Amino acid sequence: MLGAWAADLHVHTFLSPCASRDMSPGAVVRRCREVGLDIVAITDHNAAGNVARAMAEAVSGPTTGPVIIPGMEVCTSEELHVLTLLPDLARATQWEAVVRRALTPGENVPKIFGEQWVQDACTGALCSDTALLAAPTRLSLADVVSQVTDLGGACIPSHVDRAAFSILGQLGFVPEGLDLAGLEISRAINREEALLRMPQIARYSLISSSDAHSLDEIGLGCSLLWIEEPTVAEIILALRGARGRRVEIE
Amino acid sequence: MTVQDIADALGMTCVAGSPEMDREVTSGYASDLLSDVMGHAQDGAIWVTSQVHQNVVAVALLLNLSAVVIAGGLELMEDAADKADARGVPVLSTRLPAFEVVGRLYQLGVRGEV
Repeated sequence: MLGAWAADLHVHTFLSPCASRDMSPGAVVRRCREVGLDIVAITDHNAAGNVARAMAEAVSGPTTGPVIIPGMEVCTSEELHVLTLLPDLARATQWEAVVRRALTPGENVPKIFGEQWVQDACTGALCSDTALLAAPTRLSLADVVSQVTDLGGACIPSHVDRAAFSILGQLGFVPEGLDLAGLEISRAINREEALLRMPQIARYSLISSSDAHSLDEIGLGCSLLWIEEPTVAEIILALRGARGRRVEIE
Repeated sequence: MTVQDIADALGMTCVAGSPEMDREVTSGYASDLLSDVMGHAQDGAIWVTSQVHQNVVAVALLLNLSAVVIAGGLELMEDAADKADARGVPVLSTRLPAFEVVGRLYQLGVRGEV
């Protein structure tokens, strides 16, 4: 049976160098619970190191939830951001390995870009990810879409209404022939404004997310998914408007 | 030649990092792809771009560039300006399009590394 799930498919943790230092996976999960989210994708920049911990946090304690979707926000070679959502942790790990091989060589400079903390899923121990996660990868958008799609995942270009790191800002328009699940508009804009300003996005399904880089931004953007169960396959169906599934945003 | 000399000669406004305007400009680079800049711009270069986000400032810091020029009348984003001020990266703004900025820099004697 179809049910309505409140989903935020774009949330960072303290692994993203630009995110706030109090965004541990546990704190993120607790805040998501407080604001009433049912589904949350953890989407750090070019890395998925905190997904496992977030999943563990979401099923521990007296109150459980939300459902965690493993994801990453990948910066393509065109220097645009795309949300990649994977069906499970194993495939997210597989995808992360591909992205890691395509990172800009070099080490993170925390003083310039920010710290990148990973929390161990079992022990909770903290360590730093020393890769240059703030820089673009060598993967083109077409590469990202084809590889993620092959893994059963979904690709949703991020914050298309923004000038920085967006598909419209970098490419001018959405290229034909890409198997995109949908497009994300930022929480700065609603659906109506987005369609007025960018009529070319009308043929895509739109999601709205928080893109939270601090705990207090969690809950500021969300999409209502009408789906049967909280899986990436169902989210893809909802974005296609297939079999009665659908997405609602403000 | 300093960043200040260049700003004066081309009538460009400093929008952030003004205390560092006496830096020496030793070469020039123009690109809107951060990865390209990270791979090729030289220490001390003045970088002409139409990107306005805060990663521009991070890249300038990483490579120890002398200054960033935001061309085409675009406005540096507020968080980027704050970061440039805090970290001392001079950012100049001009209504001139990027092609024109690079041409005039070249006329002033700024060269790229080839």
